[in-house]
Formats: sequence, C-alpha cells, structure tokens
Amino acid sequence: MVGAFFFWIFAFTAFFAGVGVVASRNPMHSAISLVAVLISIAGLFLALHAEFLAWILVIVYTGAVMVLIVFVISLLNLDKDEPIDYTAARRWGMAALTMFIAAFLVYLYADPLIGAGHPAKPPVPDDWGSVQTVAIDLFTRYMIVVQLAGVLLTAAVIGAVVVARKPEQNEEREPGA
Amino acid sequence: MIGLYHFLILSGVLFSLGVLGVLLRRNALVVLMAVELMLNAANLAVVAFVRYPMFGDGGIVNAQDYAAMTNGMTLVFLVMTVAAAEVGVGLAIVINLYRQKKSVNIEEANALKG
Repeated sequence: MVGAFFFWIFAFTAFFAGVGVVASRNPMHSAISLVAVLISIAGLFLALHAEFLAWILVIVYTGAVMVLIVFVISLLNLDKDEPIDYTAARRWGMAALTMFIAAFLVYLYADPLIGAGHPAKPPVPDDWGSVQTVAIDLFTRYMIVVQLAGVLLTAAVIGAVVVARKPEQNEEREPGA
Repeated sequence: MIGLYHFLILSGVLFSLGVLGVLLRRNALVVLMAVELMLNAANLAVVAFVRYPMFGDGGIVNAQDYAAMTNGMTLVFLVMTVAAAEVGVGLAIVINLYRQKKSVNIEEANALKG
C-alpha cells in the first residue's frame, strides 16, 4: 500500500532528523536536521489530505523561519561545536524525565491501538484541505481570528525590532547589564 | 494499515525529542529549534485528529458535515502564525543576549537570579 510506504519513509526521516536536532553539537547541523524534520512533517500532512498546511509548512518554516535561524547562526558566528560537559547525574536525570514523558504519551495513544483499533478514515472530496476550502473557512467564519493574527504578527515585528536594536550611546545602561 | 495512532505515536516521540532538546542543550538557538520541533509535533497530532474524527457514540460530527469541515486546519494555521511570531521575538532576544554576554549559552543568562 502506497500510503503505508509514505508514512514509514517520512516517519523514520522525521525521527532520525529529530534525533539530529537534539544531538548535533554544531547548531548549523541542528538547523539542517530541523529542515529535514519539517519537510517530513509536510509529507505526512500530504498523507493526511491537508494540502494547504503542507505547502504552508514548507513555505513558512523551511522558507522563512529556518532561513532566519540559519542567518542568525551565521551572523553570530555560532557555527562551532559545543562542549559536552554535563555531569552524569544531570544527563541521566534529563534522559529519564524525557523517557517518562515519551512513555506516558505513547501509552496514552497506544492504549486504544491494542484494544479498539483505529477510528475510520471517512471519504472526503478531492479538494478537501486545499487552499480553497481552508480559505473559505478563514475568511468567513474565522475572519476576526485572522485579523487578530495579523495584529499579533505586527506586534511581534515591532517587539523584535525594539529588542534587537542597538542601544543608543547616550542611553542610560545599568552597570553590569 | 496506517491509522490515527501511528501518527499520534510519532507526534508523541517527536514532542519528547523536543523536550529533551530544551532540557539538555544550552545553546539558546538550539533550544529555540527544539521548541519548534515540539510545536510541529503538536500540529501533526491536530492534523491527524482532523483526518480521523470520532464518529458514533462519542462522536462530534456525522459524515455529511465532516466533508465540509476543516476547522482543525484553521487551528494549525494559527499555531503556525504564533510560532512565526515567537521565532521572530526569540531570535531578537538571542541577538540581544549575544550582544550583552558575547555568548548564547543560556546558563550565562542569569542576570535576574536572586
């Protein structure tokens, strides 16, 4: 079955690239791994018939957000290996906590997998999840929400400019700040 | 046969990887990337729930209404908007931190420590 093949390809890519994000000592390698994760998730969105979201994910994340992150890595010249000098207690404590969270989530989800089986996948028209159907929702029922999202993005842009700008020479600075 | 729970388990595993990254890494940029990983894992779970709705007794919709329903995708769209805003402000904070400390190690950002 083609769907199953796609799922396993993208699932394994997402998993191993996700390990790469966390385990790479070089931030640039983490960023490239994250791009692989996001493209895999976009593929899974396509498998779930969410065409619009898949393209948005590729355009917004791998196109805009990741370019921004890579740009900052280059700008700050952070393309260096980070020393791994955690104490054993810290490392194993965090690994144990993460394993606990992972086991809890997988238990939560996998419990019905053993018993009741998957819910049915109902048939949908071909254009379900396309740009058109999502846009009709966004610009009719959720118009106010879209406007508020625009306000949020404007506020974020202004905030980013204010936070990142160079302090002026005559501005009062706290000593040691 | 691939079904809802395959997507949910993958989502849970990716989310846990993001948690591990936030806890373990000390480079502020890598922590930001791990947060992105967690957000996208959650998005994957939402989209999986949109495609595999619960019908019947505990169900929320019938099959006719479902074909016209893409509300969950609107939710994911908004999560992506918030994530984009978060990355913008987060990177500005990282740049500011680097300017003050000459490093992006989050353990050196302890100016508010009592």
